[in-house]
Amino acid sequence: MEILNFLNGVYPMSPELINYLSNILKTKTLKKDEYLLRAGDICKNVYFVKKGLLRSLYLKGDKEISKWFMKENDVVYAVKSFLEQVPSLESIQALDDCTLQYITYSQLQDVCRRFPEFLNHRSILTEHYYKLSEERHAIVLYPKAIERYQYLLQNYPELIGRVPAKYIASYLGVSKATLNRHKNMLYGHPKNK
Amino acid sequence: MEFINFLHAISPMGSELTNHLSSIVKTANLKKNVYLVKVGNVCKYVCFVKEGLLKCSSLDNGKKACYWFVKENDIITPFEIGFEQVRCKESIQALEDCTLQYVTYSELQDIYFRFPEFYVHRETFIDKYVSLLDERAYILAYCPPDRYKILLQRQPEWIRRVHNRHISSYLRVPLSIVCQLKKMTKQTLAGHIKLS
Repeated sequence: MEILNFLNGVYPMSPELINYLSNILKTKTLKKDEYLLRAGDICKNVYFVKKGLLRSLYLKGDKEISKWFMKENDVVYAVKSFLEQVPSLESIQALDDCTLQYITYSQLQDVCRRFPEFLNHRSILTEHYYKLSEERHAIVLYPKAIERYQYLLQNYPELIGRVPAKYIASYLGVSKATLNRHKNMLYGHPKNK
Repeated sequence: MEFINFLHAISPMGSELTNHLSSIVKTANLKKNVYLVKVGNVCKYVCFVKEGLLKCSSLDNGKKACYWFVKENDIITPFEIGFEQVRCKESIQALEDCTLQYVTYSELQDIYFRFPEFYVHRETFIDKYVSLLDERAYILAYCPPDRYKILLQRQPEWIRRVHNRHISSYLRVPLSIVCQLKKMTKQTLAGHIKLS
């Protein structure tokens, strides 16, 4: 199971813990455009992306703001909603057909109680995603969209290749036309060559 | 002791851990504007806020920016305290006169070693900061007037108690706009104001 390899890579697990997780982990498939979670619902599960691409987003009336994008070997959950078991501020949507492995909040609490070693995984992963959140936080505060685009291009080029332009534009807070202009500025418009 | 009751509410603690904490938790007063820790220093304490209000700030693109505020019946500590005693990336400053109950970093490490049950509490300290960062990311995704409105809905006490310049820094909204929005809110906000 890929998630077990992933967790073992984070911190070595005892055979008992591996066995226990094997028995409780579940698999979920999601079709492209289907929602994994809608804003207002409580995020009850934490997911591992075995295959596919998703985005988290905020909804404001009929407008969408993409928050971030998650792909293979990423952990997916609505952070505040899952940790506090409160209604989610964000929705999570599949951008491709996805296969996910997951456990529930109460199962996670139970694993930590039964296997204190799993707190190592929890800590390391939480720290990792905290630092990612801090980094993304910093991107949002770049004053110019082109700077945010350049940051994505330098640090997450695979997202630029996979995520539809309209969602990248939504993440940057610009229109698709503006995004194309930024791309042309960086790469040069064919007409200018 | 309020700090111990707070920890019990996160997860019930055995009598040995409770007694140990009772013998080591200390009380300190922090005057308004005094720093608990500054960027680059090593933070030596985990504090419970019995009374008062503090802000945690760091640098956003070279400028000082508020990340969050912590009031009574909550924990305040730099994120790094959860893992190792590294130099802090944040400053923590009192916005009011505060009464804090605290343990030191070395006392905390000793607790983790002697009482594995306390790891649950440690995870809660860490989770808290992830949640606060997530909440701020949500607010900052919106346009400035909406940021103020959302903060007013979610954290009305911050709006009431925190000076406008800190709210301005937290929301990344110019101070003049925050002042206008606060005034309009008092007169019952109706629609957005246009930013020039």
